[in-house]
Amino acid sequence: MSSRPYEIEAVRRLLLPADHDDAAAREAAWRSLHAARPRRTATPAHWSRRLRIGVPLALAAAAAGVAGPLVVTGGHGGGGLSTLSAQPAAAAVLERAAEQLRDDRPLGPGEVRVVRVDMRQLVVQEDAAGHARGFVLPRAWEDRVDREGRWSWSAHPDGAPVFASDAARAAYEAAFGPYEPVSPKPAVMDATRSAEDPNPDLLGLSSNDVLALPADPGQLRARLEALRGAQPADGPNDIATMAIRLLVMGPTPPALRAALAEVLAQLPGVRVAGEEVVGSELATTLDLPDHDGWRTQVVIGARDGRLLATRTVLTEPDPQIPGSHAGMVLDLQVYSTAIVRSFAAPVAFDPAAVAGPMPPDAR
Amino acid sequence: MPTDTAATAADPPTAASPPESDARLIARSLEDPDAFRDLFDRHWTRVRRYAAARVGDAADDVASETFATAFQCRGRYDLTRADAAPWLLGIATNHVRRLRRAEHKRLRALAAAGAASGPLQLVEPAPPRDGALAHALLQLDRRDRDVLALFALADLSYAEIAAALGIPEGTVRSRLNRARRIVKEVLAS
Repeated sequence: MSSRPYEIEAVRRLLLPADHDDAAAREAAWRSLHAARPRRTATPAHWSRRLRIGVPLALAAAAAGVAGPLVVTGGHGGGGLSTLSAQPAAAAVLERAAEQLRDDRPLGPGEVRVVRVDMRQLVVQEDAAGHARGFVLPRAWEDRVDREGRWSWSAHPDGAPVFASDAARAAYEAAFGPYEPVSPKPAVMDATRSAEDPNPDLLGLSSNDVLALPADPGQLRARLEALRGAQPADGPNDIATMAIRLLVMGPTPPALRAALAEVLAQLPGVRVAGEEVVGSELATTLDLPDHDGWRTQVVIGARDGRLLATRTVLTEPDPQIPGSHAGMVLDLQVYSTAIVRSFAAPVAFDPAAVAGPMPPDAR
Repeated sequence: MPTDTAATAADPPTAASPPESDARLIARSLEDPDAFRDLFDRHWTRVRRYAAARVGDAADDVASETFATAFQCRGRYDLTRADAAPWLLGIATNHVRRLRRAEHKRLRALAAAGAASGPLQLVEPAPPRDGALAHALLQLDRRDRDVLALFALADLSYAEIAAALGIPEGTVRSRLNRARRIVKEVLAS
């Protein structure tokens, strides 16, 4: 006879499955974890968070760690206009973007905004001898959200890994065999959220919460400050990153996007890094405030003030990353947007090419 | 990084040593990632069973994701806590939250099946119906359900639940009391 209270026992009887030998599932899980464990993205955890939705992506997005001595083709900054790195210049770019974003057309009834994210991310795996073998992995996913905040997303299968050279590929395959996506990829994974569901990609807010955020920059800044403590340690927990997260994703209406740009414009440490071209659009690259060894760059389009791309850049050599140096790009995310009439409407995106720095060997 | 000497990676155990604490395993895994296997083996079944009780068929995903997260975050583990079960079950609970639809689907299915299949074989106070109990669990506030689940399904103490969820122990008690009262009302009705 159990000594547990009867109501607890009732819950256990209702929900707990019968004991059974789960050795097969355990071994399968360990194999997946073990296979992915040494494979580390060099991306700081805050940007890896998006990838942790779904087991295979979670495994592939293990902690920031060792990266290999890969050839680095990207340099610091976007296009050599480093003389514009004063903060007032960055504030002017963001304030202009705020004006443009405020005039953006809001979603109409039944309309759905589709945001496709194309990412190239440095992935590194250590072989048995401790040698780092790396490649750049293309990944993509789509978010769809309507005016009421209903939300869905799809992750696409990983693209083909890009190696520094034939020799690098040969060395990798000699150590690990041909790259294979972690099961069950390749696949398309779909999930949906109602407007009331908290969303870890939206700072833990629901779409309704986001729609209720103040469009006054001062009040919005205060709300973001209040939300900081609730963010996971490995999540977006600084104002700039939180603001970028809301700018990129979610049902954020035009007035709120404008307010987010103004919040960024008032942050110390934001400066112009240069200019670059995304697709055919001229854009300004901004450095966000430094973290411990890395920073985020954001690329703001001159035409409409939209956030076109973000990348994560080392600010100093990382002792855990052999061959690393300041300016090394760890990942790049390019954002494409479309408005469609339903959640099911397909969109034939043609992701914009980026002329500025990309992860090593990605172009 | 906490400096609890009992949990440092140095001085690995001998064959005559008692089993390593979870904290020690985690500390050792920072230098030797393969040491994480022992922690995985030690807790996998419990985490997976808890996940199965919450989200049914998605249990393998939740359990796998829990250990992937744990491996990723092990550098921040509080090494003064010898038993990692509350930490792991707290991570699992966070992943369950992201699968709230799966949990609701499971409870709705149990509610529907229970409504058709009759009472549970309980002695006291009155034979409840699976369906009514599942429906009551479905109606619980998510935070109350998390506490109840960790108490009833994972056998965590108040203090362990507080550590798992990062909330005060008094909050655990109030949430658990509320959830238990609702369950009792259903069973008594």
